Amino acid sequence: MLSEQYKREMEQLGPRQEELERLYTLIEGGTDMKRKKWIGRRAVAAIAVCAALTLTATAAAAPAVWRSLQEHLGPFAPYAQYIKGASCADQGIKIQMLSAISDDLEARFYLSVRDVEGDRLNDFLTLKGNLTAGEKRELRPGETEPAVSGGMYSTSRFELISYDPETKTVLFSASIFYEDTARPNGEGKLTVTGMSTKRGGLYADVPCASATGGTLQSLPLSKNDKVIFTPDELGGTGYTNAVLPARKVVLAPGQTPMDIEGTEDIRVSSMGFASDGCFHLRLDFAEGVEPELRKDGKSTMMFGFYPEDDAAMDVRFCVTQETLVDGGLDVLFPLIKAEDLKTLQSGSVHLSMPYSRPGTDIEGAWSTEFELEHYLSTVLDWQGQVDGCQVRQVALSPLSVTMYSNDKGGFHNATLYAVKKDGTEIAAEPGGANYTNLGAQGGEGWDAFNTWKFEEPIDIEDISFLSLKGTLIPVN
Amino acid sequence: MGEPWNDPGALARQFAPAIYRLAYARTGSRADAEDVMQEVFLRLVKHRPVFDSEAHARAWLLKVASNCATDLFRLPWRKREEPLEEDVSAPEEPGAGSVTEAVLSLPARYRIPIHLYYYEGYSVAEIADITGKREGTIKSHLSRARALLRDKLKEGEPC
Repeated sequence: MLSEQYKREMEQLGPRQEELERLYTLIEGGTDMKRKKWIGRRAVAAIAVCAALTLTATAAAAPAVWRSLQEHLGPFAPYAQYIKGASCADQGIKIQMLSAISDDLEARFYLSVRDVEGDRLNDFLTLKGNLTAGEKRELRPGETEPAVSGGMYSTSRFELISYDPETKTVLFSASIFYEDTARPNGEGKLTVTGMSTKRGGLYADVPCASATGGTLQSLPLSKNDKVIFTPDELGGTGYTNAVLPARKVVLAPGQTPMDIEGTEDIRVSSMGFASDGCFHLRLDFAEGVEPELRKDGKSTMMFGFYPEDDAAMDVRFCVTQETLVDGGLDVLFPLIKAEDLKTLQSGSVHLSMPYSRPGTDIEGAWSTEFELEHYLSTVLDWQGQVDGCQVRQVALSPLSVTMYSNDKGGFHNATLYAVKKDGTEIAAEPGGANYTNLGAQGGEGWDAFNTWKFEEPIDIEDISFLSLKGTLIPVN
Repeated sequence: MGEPWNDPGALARQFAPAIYRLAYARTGSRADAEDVMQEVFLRLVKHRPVFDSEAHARAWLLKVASNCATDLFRLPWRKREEPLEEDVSAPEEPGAGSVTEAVLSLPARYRIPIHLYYYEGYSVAEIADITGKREGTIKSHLSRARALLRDKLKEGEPC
């Protein structure tokens, strides 16, 4: 069949995994920032009560790095695997796999990068490489392909957790989400081909509470200013360049200076209404800082105003024109006017800005292999109804729950609880999910694969029920 | 906005490969297809349209991808047809005599309808909606493209 052959061939043609990872980083950058803060707060509480950590025996090697790792693991520290003897060195840089925690849904890895010859690293370090740990799962009886798409057993996305200037060591984490198409197979391999301190990324919220209804000093657009994004480029939204004001101005610099939390590379220079009657945000860049642009010179940045009240959110708040100005960037919001002042003052502008900064590139070859242990999920002997949906399989590990059902989307936002034998509960927040509309394939209804991750590990023997949307699912 | 089809991250994980493949079918270039894939999801995040179903989200993404891939060829500095690029680290190229090679050799206007029909399984009416063309036009494009494909694939058969 022409169609089948064409599909098979196209499946082989990409996209490349690293490009997908790059896209996910770009799209999910803001979410990751929030998640990191959340883990931080939890970790501080966990550290205070967790006196015995399995990793303390190795703390003498680089105390700050291990402390940071234990903080990040929080209550999961006793469940993590300490990886021995997996290190490599090149170009005076030593990379070591430190720890991993995994079940058959997801694996999280920790590795350190240490400059043993110089002082070339800092907390802007990014890695170029790949971590692989797993394989495609075998097809089940009656399957021609896995029930859900997606899932993978490698990643090229390394998230910096901390940098310790005393030991010149950076701690990274990396995650692999196996979903239901791949599985860990006991083996892992890390390959790094380069690293750089030249790439920065700012994913931050700038509160607009200090904005006033007055008109700030404005400058006409000069020939040196360069427009790198216009409303037209939003495409198919109903908004075009026709919404731009007739008067072409940018804010004059330095009128309402303000630091942005977490960075010294970029700061607010001016924020408020310009003489064109529209809201503007002007940013200043530190020396050597430049926004990352596409090959055609267009913007890869994203700006949007988000009111405090989600119900007040409107697409017009994300319509922008971005102009590179002397030493920075002017962001014009043509559809935010003085009459929006109250809403404006209640919210913040979300910035998503990949950029380059002064730093060092180090090319080399680092590679090491390691053994990965993982917790196996237990499939529960239960099928039934939850909130009017038919559940056909539930599986449980100390770290997560997975569920197949015909849910239409209600489970995606629902917290699941593990009810212990003493009546106390441990919450599990929804993780990745996959919904397939069978109607679009000639079938009926929905096929859903939902996942939840526990906020602290559970001992399955200690659990009586799982509770989801008021339904109790027996565990033992 | 809590449904997965209104979550840009979930949509990227679910549909990015499909968007890439549509763009590849139109451009024949991995680099361009990756650019289109990124552009489509940047527009999604910037615009944040509200979808009422997964199918609605998928159709919107493919529509934007179709427009972006076509727009690439309107850029004045660009040649009308791009050669397939060399890249040792990238996935393999379509082999000689493959259906994909035959699709890429079709006139550009036929490639998106053919891809949406054979790969995505859309109907003529749905393809018309996604590409913004009349059903009659799509029918004629598909009919002509299928005839061309048949000829091209026959040519490639061993004697």
